[in-house]
Amino acid sequence: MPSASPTAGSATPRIPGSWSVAYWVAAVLIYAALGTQLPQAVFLGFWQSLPYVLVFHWLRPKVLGALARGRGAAA
Amino acid sequence: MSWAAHDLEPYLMRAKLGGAVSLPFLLIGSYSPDILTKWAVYGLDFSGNNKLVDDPVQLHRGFPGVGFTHSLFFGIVVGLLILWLSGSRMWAFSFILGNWAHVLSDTLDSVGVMLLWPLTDWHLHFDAWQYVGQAGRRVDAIAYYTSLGGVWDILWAVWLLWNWRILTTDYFRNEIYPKDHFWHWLGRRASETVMLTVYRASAFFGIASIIGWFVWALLVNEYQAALDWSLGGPQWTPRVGPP
Repeated sequence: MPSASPTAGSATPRIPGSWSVAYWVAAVLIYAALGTQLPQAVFLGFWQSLPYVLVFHWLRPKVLGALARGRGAAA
Repeated sequence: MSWAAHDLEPYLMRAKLGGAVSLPFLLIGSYSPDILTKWAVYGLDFSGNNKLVDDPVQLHRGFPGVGFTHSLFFGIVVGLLILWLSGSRMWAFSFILGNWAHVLSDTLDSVGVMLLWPLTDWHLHFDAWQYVGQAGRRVDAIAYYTSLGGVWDILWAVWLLWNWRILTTDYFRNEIYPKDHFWHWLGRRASETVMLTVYRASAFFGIASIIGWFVWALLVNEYQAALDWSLGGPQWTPRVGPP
């Protein structure tokens, strides 16, 4: 199976699991907020969410990685 | 009809039944009764003013019509077709379970389903909330999410969130991927990111749409209905029974 896990020695700091949970809660709330304004654009079927979920997956290591590096630099 | 419950039920079945079932085929089965007909039931636009058929209830849940997709028989026939084409008992069984979950969920509205078709076109309906599909998607959304239908969706969402670990990457890698050849097939063609997207999308959509529809139905749209959790509600909608 292809793996998205950081390899040993990777520059990406370890991302706490609670951050991932918070990230996905925020992603759900963003999508829900979009739906309250444009329900016909995002709430007609799960297929409409596929590109958004793909982008949220793509962004997750970038956003959380940047936050983790920021915290590491501040410490 | 049920809304996000159809998106969430398959995840809980997978959580409870483990490797005996395939999540993608549970989802396909869950979507199958409405997948080709919702656009015709609701009409071509969100408002419900662009109707395609004179009697959406007859089309959706009756016979003549495509109400047979909401029968136990339909799930078995398509399940056997999947078994014949793929040779996978797991995929066939999963499709049947997903389809039956949808069918049984839809017995809770006022129209119900032809559960035992083709033996009889009798409709099993428990009238927990009104069927409002004939009024278009906009009005149906308001009616459903202000009635016990919305509570039904919340129950599934809470149950899924209680089992949130089934949506983690570790669970997918260790429990989902190794036990279903569908993911091996997809993994040869796509990255893990794409597989996780496919795995999680319906749960993501289900949870987000419940939150969003509730807010929209209660606060945003111009007809701001109040919650009506009475049996057979909401009471402002026209009464609709089996065709």
